[in-house]
Amino acid sequence: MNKKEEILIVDDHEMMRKFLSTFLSRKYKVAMVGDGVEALEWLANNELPKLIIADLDMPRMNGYDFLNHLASTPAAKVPVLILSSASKSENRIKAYTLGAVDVLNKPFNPMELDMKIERISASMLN
Amino acid sequence: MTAQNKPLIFIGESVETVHLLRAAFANKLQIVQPHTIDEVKKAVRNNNIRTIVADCSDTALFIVSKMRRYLERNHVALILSGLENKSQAIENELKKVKGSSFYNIKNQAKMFVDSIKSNPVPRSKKLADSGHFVSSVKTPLDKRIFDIVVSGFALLLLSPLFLLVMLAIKIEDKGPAVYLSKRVGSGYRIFNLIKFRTMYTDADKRLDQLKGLNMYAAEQTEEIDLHHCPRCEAKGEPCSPQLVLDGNIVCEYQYKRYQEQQNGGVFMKFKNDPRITKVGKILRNTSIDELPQLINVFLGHMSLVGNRPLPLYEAEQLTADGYVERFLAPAGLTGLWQVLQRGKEVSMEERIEMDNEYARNYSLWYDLKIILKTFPALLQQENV
Repeated sequence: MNKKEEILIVDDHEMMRKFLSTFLSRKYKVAMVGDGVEALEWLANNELPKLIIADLDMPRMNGYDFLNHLASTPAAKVPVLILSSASKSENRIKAYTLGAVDVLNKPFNPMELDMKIERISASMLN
Repeated sequence: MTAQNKPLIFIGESVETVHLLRAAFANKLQIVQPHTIDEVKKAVRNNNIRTIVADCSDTALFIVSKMRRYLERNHVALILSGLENKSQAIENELKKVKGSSFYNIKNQAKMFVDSIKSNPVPRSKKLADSGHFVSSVKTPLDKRIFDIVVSGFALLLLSPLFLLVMLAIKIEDKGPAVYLSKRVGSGYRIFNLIKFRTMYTDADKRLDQLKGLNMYAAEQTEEIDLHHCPRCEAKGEPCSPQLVLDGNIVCEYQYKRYQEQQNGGVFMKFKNDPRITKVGKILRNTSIDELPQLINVFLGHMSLVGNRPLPLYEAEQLTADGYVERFLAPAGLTGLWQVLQRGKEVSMEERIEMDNEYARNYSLWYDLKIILKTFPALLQQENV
């Protein structure tokens, strides 16, 4: 991905959002919202990002519902990487079933996140 | 929903927007239409408004762009309504005001109304950074200048000492005079932390010998009984802090000892670690081995005051919701933790809280206070 390409971060934890944007904005353009409702609203009003990084446990609309809603919008083709503290394998499987391309548990190694993003964007080119 | 009892502030003249709002709120909504910046401010203040609606007329955009700092400070969200899709000019306006959004009321009427309905309840600080592009954390300019001046001066003054120390290290054990360790800094930027080498170049080999010694030591030690804590019993006090393990109450101190034993004592510290050189011992006791970090400070990898730059394996444990805040502050040579610890045992949680506290409050003034408290902490002789 080049610097122009954009990532949307969906996380209810303000400091986590700031941390992710700080870390990722060295390589990408980063936009942030606090829950699923805001994410859908953002996606309807902006150019589609290359990737969405979403938390699972959020108020108003959680990550699962967000994945569900997303599927019926024009943004359905945007890959979603789940980054969440819900570490149980059932949660991961549920997220995959709903269309997430990858899942990473918090706490995470930011280098691993970076690697996953690179891989997702590379696989999209094929 | 506040929409019913609070008036809605609408800046602009668009009849279409007013009609739409009247219809959506079944005429229950009082619409205030201020025409100047002062009128907007007055209306916001008097009604504790959290959302402002504006159309895309030149006047409205002018007022809104003049007020962007006011809106940001007061956490007021801006919703723009237009009759066409957003133009570049509007896009630029939106970028300026945090938490703002745009709707084309011809084809997004429902979303427009919904966003007004969901917004008037305080759009809290939480949203202040939403939907926006944020660049990485930067050290405030005054702090950076202070770092450069102080570290530059210190390096100049200390250069004769540095030369002597490097010579001494080389004379005792041939090899590099400095040791580079990968650390995580502000915004998870990884850099090489510079220290004077205090261990032998073949420290790993020495460690193996040491493990043998340590295992022998472990065999000699008594079996640790988790349900009895001789230390607390001798003191005649109930164990504190207590842990609940499989339904039994266990003293935390005793449990830690037990775990250390189970791990073969890997984490034990030795009074005379054979890996450390004689010169190294002096350097460590006087904290001189830490001084080359002034070079890191001068180069901007870290700051004089900040959160401890953690080794990679420790850092990646702290990228969870309650912990990440610490990485938003600069890494530093000294910090709140080093100053407040002073020999006391500080728990992991307390340390994380101190780091987060620093991340929330850091400023040059706060740093100066920490620096003044550092010197006694530095000179403390810790021969472990």
